[in-house]
Amino acid sequence: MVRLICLFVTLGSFVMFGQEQYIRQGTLKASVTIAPSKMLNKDVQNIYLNGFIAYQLDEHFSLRGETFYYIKGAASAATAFVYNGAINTYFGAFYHNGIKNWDNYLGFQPGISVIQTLYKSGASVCPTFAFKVGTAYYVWKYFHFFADVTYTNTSLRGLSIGSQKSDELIISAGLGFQINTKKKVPKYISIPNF
Amino acid sequence: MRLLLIFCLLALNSFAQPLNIKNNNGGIFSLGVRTTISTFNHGNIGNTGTGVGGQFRLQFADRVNSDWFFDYITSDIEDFASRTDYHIGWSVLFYPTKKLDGLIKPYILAGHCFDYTRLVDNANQNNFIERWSSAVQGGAGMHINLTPRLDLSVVSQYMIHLGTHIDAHAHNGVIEFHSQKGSSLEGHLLFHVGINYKIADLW
Repeated sequence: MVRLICLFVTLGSFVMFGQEQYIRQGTLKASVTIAPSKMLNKDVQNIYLNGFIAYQLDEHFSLRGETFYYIKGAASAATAFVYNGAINTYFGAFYHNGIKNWDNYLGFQPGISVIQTLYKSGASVCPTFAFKVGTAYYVWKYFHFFADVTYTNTSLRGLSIGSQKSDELIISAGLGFQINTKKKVPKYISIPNF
Repeated sequence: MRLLLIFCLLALNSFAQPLNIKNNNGGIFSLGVRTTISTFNHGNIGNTGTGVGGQFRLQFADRVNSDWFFDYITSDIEDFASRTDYHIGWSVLFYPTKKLDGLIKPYILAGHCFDYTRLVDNANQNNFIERWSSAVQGGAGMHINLTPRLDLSVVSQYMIHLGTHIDAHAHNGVIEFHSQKGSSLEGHLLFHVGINYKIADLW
């Protein structure tokens, strides 16, 4: 059993460290996935369609824009407070730290939410911001797997029942796509001059 | 469509290049987004608001920058009304330190702003009051230079509005808005956290 684990770890390490590094400066990545959420101030679970596009500025920083589109009728709630519709859009910067093709990231994104409820005629346009932490593994030059958690801070104001805090924890995971917009700069080995 | 895609990819490609600085730091143009917390609205700590906005910066000289911004801020007025502020304005930033490329770059700022404010009854959207006014603001902040082209900026500034004073009161369950003739000074303390990316050095 111990031998089997050692063999698995060793082979896994060879696979992981023997690969070409797919995430680098100039990587443009995007995805669309289904993202369930839990509202932190209410007993409500929402479902969003989550799409993002991100661009890697260098090894450690990227810019990212993303949208969460509320899927009407998919929420489960113990209260009467459910959205009629919502779309939350964010743009911000992310810090990355990883090993080869395994990338861990966290970021901050200011944004805006357009939310429809029963308690106001028309939509509420709410300033919002989000913190995200996540991890991704780049399996090939065009694909990666990712999983992340987003905290969104939103206050719905101007409702007939008064202001409502609408903070959420949103979980996103799935398959992402990427291309490299810059050619990889070859690392030349310097040969000592004897 | 294909041309647009090629254009976008080329533009993105340029973002990953180091910024080619000509002569000095004057002429650096950057774009950014920011989030805002608005406190002490007319001296009242209880009705803190949140906002979102964007800005572009155009640097005039090595130690003088300018910040051109738009903010959208929403706040509560107790539990019976809401307040929305739109700010559009500019600030001049002065860097007191001589070091131009440190990790932390502190600055002081002062500037002007035009704003639109709207107070709305929560229970009746047709019951509202609005006003246009101008403002001046001053404060201090710092850039945290994450990379040579990307910075995180943290700013605190006090904004004083000059214009007609408007407020909201609940009288026996009826929300009334008041506009006091004559100009008055009122303000709020704003905290911003923003991200900026240097696009180009224009001169």
